[in-house]
Amino acid sequence: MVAQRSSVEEVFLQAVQKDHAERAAFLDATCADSKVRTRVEALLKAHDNASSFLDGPAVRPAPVSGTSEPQASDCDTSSAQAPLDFLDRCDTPDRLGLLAHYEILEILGRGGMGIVLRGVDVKLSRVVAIKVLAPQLAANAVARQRFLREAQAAAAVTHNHVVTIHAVDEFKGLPYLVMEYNSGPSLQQKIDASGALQLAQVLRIGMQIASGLAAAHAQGLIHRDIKPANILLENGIERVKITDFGLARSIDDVRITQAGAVYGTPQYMSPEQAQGERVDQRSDLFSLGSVLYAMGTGRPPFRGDTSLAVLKRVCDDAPRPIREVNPDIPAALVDIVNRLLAKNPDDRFQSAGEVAELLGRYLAHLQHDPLTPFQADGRPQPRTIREDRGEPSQQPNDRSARPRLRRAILVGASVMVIGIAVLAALEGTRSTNWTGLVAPRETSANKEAPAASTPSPDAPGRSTKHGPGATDRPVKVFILAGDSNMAGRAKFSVLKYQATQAETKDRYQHLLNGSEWVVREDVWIKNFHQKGNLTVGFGQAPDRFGPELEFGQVVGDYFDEQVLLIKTCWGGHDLNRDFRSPSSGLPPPEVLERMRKELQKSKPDVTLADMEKFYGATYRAMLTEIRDALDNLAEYFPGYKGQGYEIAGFVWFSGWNDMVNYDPFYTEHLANFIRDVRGEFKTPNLPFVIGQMGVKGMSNPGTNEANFRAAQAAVGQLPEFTGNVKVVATDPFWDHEAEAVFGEVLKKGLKDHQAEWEKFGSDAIYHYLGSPKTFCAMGRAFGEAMIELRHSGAKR
Amino acid sequence: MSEVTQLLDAIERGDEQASKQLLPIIYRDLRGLAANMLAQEPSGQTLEATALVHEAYVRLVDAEEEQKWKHRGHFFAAAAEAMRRILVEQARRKQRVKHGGEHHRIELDDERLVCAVPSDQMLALDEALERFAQEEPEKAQLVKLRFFAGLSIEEAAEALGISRATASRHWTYARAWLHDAVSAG
Repeated sequence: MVAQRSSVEEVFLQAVQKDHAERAAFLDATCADSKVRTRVEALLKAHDNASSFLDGPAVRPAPVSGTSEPQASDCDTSSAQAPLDFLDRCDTPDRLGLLAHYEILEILGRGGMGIVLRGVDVKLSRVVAIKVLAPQLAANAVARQRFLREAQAAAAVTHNHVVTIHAVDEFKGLPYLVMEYNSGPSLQQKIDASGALQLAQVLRIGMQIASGLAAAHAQGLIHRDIKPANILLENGIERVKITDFGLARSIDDVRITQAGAVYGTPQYMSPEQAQGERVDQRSDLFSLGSVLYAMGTGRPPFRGDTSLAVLKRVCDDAPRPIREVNPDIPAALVDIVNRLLAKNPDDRFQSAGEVAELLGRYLAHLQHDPLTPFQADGRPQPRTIREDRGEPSQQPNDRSARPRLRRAILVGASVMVIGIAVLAALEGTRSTNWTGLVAPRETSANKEAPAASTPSPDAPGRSTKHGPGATDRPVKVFILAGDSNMAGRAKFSVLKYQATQAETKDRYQHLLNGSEWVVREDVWIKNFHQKGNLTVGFGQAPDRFGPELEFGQVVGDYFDEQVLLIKTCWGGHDLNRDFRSPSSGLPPPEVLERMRKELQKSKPDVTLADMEKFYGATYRAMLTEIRDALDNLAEYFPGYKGQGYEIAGFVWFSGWNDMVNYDPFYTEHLANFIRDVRGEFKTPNLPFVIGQMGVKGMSNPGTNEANFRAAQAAVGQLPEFTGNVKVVATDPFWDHEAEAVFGEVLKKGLKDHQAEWEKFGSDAIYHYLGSPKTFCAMGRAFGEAMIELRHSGAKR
Repeated sequence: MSEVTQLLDAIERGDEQASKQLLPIIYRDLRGLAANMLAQEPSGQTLEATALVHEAYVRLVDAEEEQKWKHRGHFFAAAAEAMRRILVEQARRKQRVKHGGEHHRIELDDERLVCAVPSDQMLALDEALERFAQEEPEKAQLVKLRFFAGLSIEEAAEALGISRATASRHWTYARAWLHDAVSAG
């Protein structure tokens, strides 16, 4: 059966290549089996009748009358009918004709340079745009050669922001090029429709043009006709594609012979181009400057009644100051545009890549810190968004910042307004980074009035605290390290709600003192620059909390001594690389090399030594953070009376990234981590609690999940760790109720049902849904495990 | 790493569970994206699968990962499947309305996704595609990528890890097979 099927396919594919007249003979010769033949004939018939079947995507824009197609942007669609008589006749109904193996569907536009058609490549069954050089230009041998040569060069450029050229060929002496068909409007159309664009849009579009240019320039190709009409926006989503690379050049010779009759729109030309001088890639940068100007103001920088008047201004005049036209343009953008519009190419930016990088940086800055002016020189402001938001400021490396930059760039497209709420759920960590400015959080130490912060006397186990002399004994220090889940992703607004509900309030009563959150003077906490008495708000963001809250309650209740929690968590970091401790050494050279290759795409000059630095960077930052806390107790905690400290325990809760990129050496790395930390602080049997991955309750774990959990559990089984390392499963604490609500609410649209969702949770699945129940229960379990270890340690 | 990137990585590693987790995310995202984009567009404007799917990709997958074609392949596979479901549901709903069936809340975002194929043909095609997938899973996948996710032949070829020529042959065969199936059926 299989053999028969494949022979049907084979025969069909061969027959379909043949003319109708030859097919019968071919089938006679190849089909011994009549069944095969019947089937092949049916398929051939279906093929011939398929017409436009599956011709384009299932979902496509309905044709909207009145809007011209972008690929006709430099053509005048209203001009007199140009003859299509060069096309061959096409038998398929509704086709205008046939050009080689392209069935022509419609004319997208025509103009001085030629005609642009929409057609179907019948060999590949795809819709394409075809640009055919105008016959009067094609008659000029030099122009024809140039068109072909430049089109071929342009076809070699493959880049996200450059329209892909599929083929370059000649048809009856007319050169033509076949390119991807884009249905979106051109930037010209967008500017015409809406005038000046938003700053973020200007930056985003400008950045993409510059990055497309950089790719082309790297291949030695100059565009020569950068203008809004040659910038295509995919469906208004601001995905920029540059079209018509290098094609302007093919008509240069013609232009020279027709003095004064300048082809196309000269508004975006560079001075050197307007003067007919030799141009290099910096000419495109001038044009880019004009495009940025036009986006920012709604009109090109150089205008005049005639083309010559425009060209004269391009060469001699400074444009009208951009802020006279649009006072809202910030000085930083004015500077960039002015530099691009320098008459002398040497005074401009020297590469498109430089401009792309700068605009990208600007955009990221705008998203993170819109109130502070962007400074083009120098790196981003030393005051980082994390500090603004009361989040940890230390970044052991800049890897974690990169996705955020990307997000920021994406969000810069104001057209692309996504339900922030949906993203907040899907992209938990990220959303908070661009939802605007949040005032710096005061630490509870200097904020809370002491009277309000007295622990409730009713709270269990607390009245017995601080027996005689207990506060003189060394502070018990616990280190809480890991990724975003240890950092804590539960919103305390959800906790607050649940604490008032009959069915849930009991589990939180010990955290409340009347209507106030308990603030534990007997438990200090340091979470990077946040320092104070333990209460809610020491999570990854100021409005969130994590396992520290309940962990602190448990150990605080247990120990008579003052307790200090040091949180050192980095969301998104893993043990395999970031937290890798010295005993694990470096990965094999090929791993480093692969990583370098990957990074070289964005930073060409990275070295292997740079890669090595990534390894253990977070481990080292963690040690720095711990030492900083221990060395400055008196400064950070006014209650500290010089009683000294004892490092009493370490909780490690981290894993999503290590699970996703599961590495069989995880157990070894974690064991090394434990040994190295113990060695570092000279605490040989320091109790370690390991939080085991339990997202989704692990009801149906995949291979990686199962392997990873086993690798975590295995650490607890190592003989040397008996009685001093305990692995605590977290899957029992998965909030199934929150999960069900999450699913329901998402179906209905999270945007409109955010309030409903926030009765249960506040984050994505991989952050345990930000469920307060889960984060409280995990913290409690870690605390209890820690005490158990302390006991077993004491027995030894 | 974004959740989607992580899931893509997991799929890459052969974790089937991750595929199941990825689909609803993309499904939701495509619908949400469609609704939001439509809210911005002048009335009468409709959306194109290609743009929608690519945009979802750009938003859901980390920039660093964007170059990985394997990722893209898995992503587009899920996106095509999500888009297929949206369209088939839409077609079913339309058919029900046509036959005076139950009342159903009309989702604005779905209705504005103008399907190139009438609802009855869409259902027939989907059925044929399902049968085709039993026989020729890879070719059916190619059809899904091209028809539902709007990928070009090159993109689809790359997503499937086959050459363009092979993809092109597969396409010719699949198109004839499916056209025969819907015409006969």
